[in-house]
Amino acid sequence: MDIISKYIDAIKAIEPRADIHVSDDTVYTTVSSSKLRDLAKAIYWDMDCFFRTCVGADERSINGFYALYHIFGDDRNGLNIVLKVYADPNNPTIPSIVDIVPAADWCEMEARDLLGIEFSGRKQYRLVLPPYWPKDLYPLRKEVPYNVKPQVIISSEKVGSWGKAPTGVAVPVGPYHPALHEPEYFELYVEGERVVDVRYRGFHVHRGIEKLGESKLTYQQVNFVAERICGICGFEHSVCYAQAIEKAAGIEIPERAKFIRSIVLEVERIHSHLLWVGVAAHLLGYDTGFMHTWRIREHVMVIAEMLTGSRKTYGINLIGGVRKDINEEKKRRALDVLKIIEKEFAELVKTMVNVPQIMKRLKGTGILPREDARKLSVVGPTARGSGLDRDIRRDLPYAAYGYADFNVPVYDEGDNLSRFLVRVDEVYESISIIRQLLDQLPQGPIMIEEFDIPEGRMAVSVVEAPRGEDIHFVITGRGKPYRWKVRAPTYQNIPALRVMLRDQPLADAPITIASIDPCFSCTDRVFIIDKHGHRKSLDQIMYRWR
Amino acid sequence: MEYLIFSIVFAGLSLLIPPLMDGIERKIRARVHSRIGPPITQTWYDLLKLFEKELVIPEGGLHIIILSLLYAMLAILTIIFTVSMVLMGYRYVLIVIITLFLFVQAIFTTVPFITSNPFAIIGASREVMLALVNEVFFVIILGLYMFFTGSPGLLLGSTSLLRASMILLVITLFVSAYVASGRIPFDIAEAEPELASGALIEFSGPILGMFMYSNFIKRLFVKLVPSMLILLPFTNNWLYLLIGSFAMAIILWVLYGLIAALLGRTRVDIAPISILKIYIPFIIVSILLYLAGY
Repeated sequence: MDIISKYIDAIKAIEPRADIHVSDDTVYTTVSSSKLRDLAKAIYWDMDCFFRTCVGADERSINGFYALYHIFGDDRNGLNIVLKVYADPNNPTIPSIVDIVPAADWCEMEARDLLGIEFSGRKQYRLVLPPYWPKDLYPLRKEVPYNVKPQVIISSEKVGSWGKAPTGVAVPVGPYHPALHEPEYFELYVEGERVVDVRYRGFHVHRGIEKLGESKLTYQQVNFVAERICGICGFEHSVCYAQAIEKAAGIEIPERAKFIRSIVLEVERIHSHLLWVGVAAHLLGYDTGFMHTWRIREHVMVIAEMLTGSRKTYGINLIGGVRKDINEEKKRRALDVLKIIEKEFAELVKTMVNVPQIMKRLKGTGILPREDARKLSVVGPTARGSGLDRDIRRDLPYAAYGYADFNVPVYDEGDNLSRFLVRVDEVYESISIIRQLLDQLPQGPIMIEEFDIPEGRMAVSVVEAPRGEDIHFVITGRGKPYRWKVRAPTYQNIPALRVMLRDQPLADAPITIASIDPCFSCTDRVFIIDKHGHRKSLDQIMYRWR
Repeated sequence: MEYLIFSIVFAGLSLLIPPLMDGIERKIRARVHSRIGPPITQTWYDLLKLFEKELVIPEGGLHIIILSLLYAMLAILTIIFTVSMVLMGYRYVLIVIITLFLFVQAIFTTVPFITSNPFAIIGASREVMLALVNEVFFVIILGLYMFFTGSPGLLLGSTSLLRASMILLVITLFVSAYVASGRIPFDIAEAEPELASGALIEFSGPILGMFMYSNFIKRLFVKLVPSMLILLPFTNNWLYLLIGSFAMAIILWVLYGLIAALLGRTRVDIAPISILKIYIPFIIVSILLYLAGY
C-alpha cells in the first residue's frame, strides 16, 4: 500500500464523508468540524507528522463560508496533509486542536485576530493585533479594505500569552535591548540569576503584508514584497511564494532557473549562518569571533552581489523563473571565493571552540528536549539540534536540490552548542551544494514568459530557510492571490523558548533566545518599502499607521 | 620642592594616562579584529563629550549624584595619594592603599543598588559576588605580603623580596588586578548584550563620564600596585621605582587588553569559582614556601 492510500484510508476511517484529493506532494481533505480533532490526533501523533501551520481564509465569496486549513507535514514520506474545515459565516467557530497539537496555538489565535474565527475549547487571547484595535474589525476579511485606518486610543496591555503571572522579579528584554535587534518583548521572571518563567509579546511590526498581497498587488509584484519580509533570508520567501504559485498553476520552470534558485538559496544560507555565528560570539563576549565571522561573511556577500547584482534583496525571482543568469566567469569566481570562505571559516571555528567561555556557555545551556521539540514541531537548526532529522531540501526536494548530494547534520543534545554545531556543519554542506550545482548547471533559458494562472487553485510551498521551513500557502485569484499566507520559521520556534529558558541562568538568556536565530520581523511579516519603492523607517511607518 | 614637582607630574600622568591607555587598548583590539579602530585619543573625546551633555538625574536622585561624585573623588585621590606616598617613601603606604581601594570598590558596588532598575541591581549584585572573592583576596594577598616582609610599607631595594613565596604572591596580585579591571571575561557587571550595561544602565552624560573615568583610573591603580611590588628589589630610588612601575603598568595594560580580546565573557556562577581555583593554590603554595624558608 503506498503512503497516500494509507493516509486516505486513515482519514476515511475517521471521517467517511471526507472529500479528499491529491495534488503533487499534498493531500487535501475537507472534513466536518466534529471530526477535526480526531483527525488531527491521528495525523499528528498516530501517523507521526509534524504540524506546519494553519491558515484562515474568508471564502464567503467562493462558497459562502470561512475556512481553516490545518497543514501537517510527513517529512519522511515527502508529503503535506491539509485538513480543511468550514466555519459558519454568521458565527465562525471551529474546535481548537491546541491541546492535541500545541504547535497550533499561534496560528489559531492569528486566524481569530485577523478573520474573527473563534476557537472552542481553549483559552483565547490577542496575538497579532494590539489591544486597542477595534474588536469587530478583522483585517483579512474581504470586505475590509487593505488601507483601513481605524480610530484608536493607544493603550497599554498586560503581557500574558503564556499563562498566569509567575513569581520572581520581572526582567524586561525588549522591545529595545542590545541582545535583540528587532522590536520584540520577553519578560523573564528571575529568582536570583535563575529564570523561572518567561512571557512573550511579539508582532510589534505586523503590517498586514498578506492583506496587501491579496488586495493591492499583482502576482509578480508579490515576489518583491515577499523578498522584503526578511532582511536576511528574504530570497527564501520569494522562492517559496513563486513556487507556491507555480505549483498551483502547474507551471514548470526551466531547469537552469531551478539551479540558480538553489545556488542563491545556499549563498543566502551561508551568509545567514555566518551572521548568526558572529552574533552568538558577540553575545558571549567574544567580539574577536564576531568581527572575523563578519569579515568572512563579506566574501559571501561578494558572491551574492556577483551572482544577483545585489548584496541582499536580490530581486531576481519571478513566477516562471529568474531574471539573472550565471555565466562561466561568475562561476569560476564564485568557486574561487568559496575556497577562501571554506578555509577561513574552518580556521575561525577551530579558534572559537578553543575559547573556554564559548564552550562553557554553549554546552548544556538552553536545552530543548527532543519530546518538546516534537510536540511544538520546531523547525530548522532548532529541530536538528534536538535530534529531529528533518530538512525540507531533502524531504520534499524543490528547485534543484534533487541534483545535490548533501548531509543533514543532526545533534541530539538539544543545547545551544548543538544548534551552533548544526549551523557550522551546514555552512560546509552549503558550500558543497553550491559547488555541485555550479558544476552541473544545465544550459537553457532561465525564465518562461507565457503562462496562465487559473483561479481557485491552491498550493502549499515549503522552503528550507536558514532558520527552518518557510511556508507559503496560496489560493489563486484573478490577477492576484485570493489568499496568501506566510509562515516564517521563527513563528514556529519562539514558543519553544519557554522550555529553553526556564531554569537557566539569566546570563544565558540572550544566547538561548539567539540560538533559534530569531527573525522577528519575518515572524511578524514586516514590510517597509512604500509604493514608490522608497525605504521607510519603522518610526515613520508607526507614525503614519497611528 | 623636588618632591612636590614629581608628585604633581605623576599625579598629572595618573589622571591623563588611563583614558589614553584605553584608547591604545581599543586600537590593539581593533587590530586583533582586523579593524583599523578609532584614534588613541578617542576615549578622551568620548569622555569630554559625555561631560558636555546635559545632566539627567537618574532614578535615585541626589543620592546617586553624591555617591558618584564621591566615587570619582576617591578614585582620583587613591591614585594621587599612592604616587605621592610612594615618592615620599611613606611607611604605611600599603595599609592606606588597601583602605582607599576598598572604599572605592564599596561605593562602586553600592551606587547601582540605589536605582530600582533590575538590570542595574543584577549588575551590581554580580559585582558584589565577584568582589567578595577578588577584592577580599586582594586584601589577603597584600596582608600576607605585609606579614611576610614584616612591614606595612614598601621595602625599597630589599633582595629578600626575591624569594619564591613573595614572587608567587605578587603574581597572584597580577591576576587579581586583571579581574578587578573588569575586562572580559570578568565584565559581568556591565555585560552589555545581557544586561544592557547593567550596573551603569541608569547613568548618562556627566555622571556616566565620571564613572567611566573613575573606572579607568582604577584600572591603572590595580596595575600599578603589583608593578611596584615586583620592581621593589631592583632599585634604591623611589622615583625610579615609580617610573618603572608606570612603564610596567602601561605594558600590562596592553597585555591585558590583548588577553581580553582573545576571550569570551564568563558567568557569575562560574567566575568566582574560576578565580578561586587560581588564588587558593597559589596562596597555599606561597605560604608553604614561606614556611620552608623560600
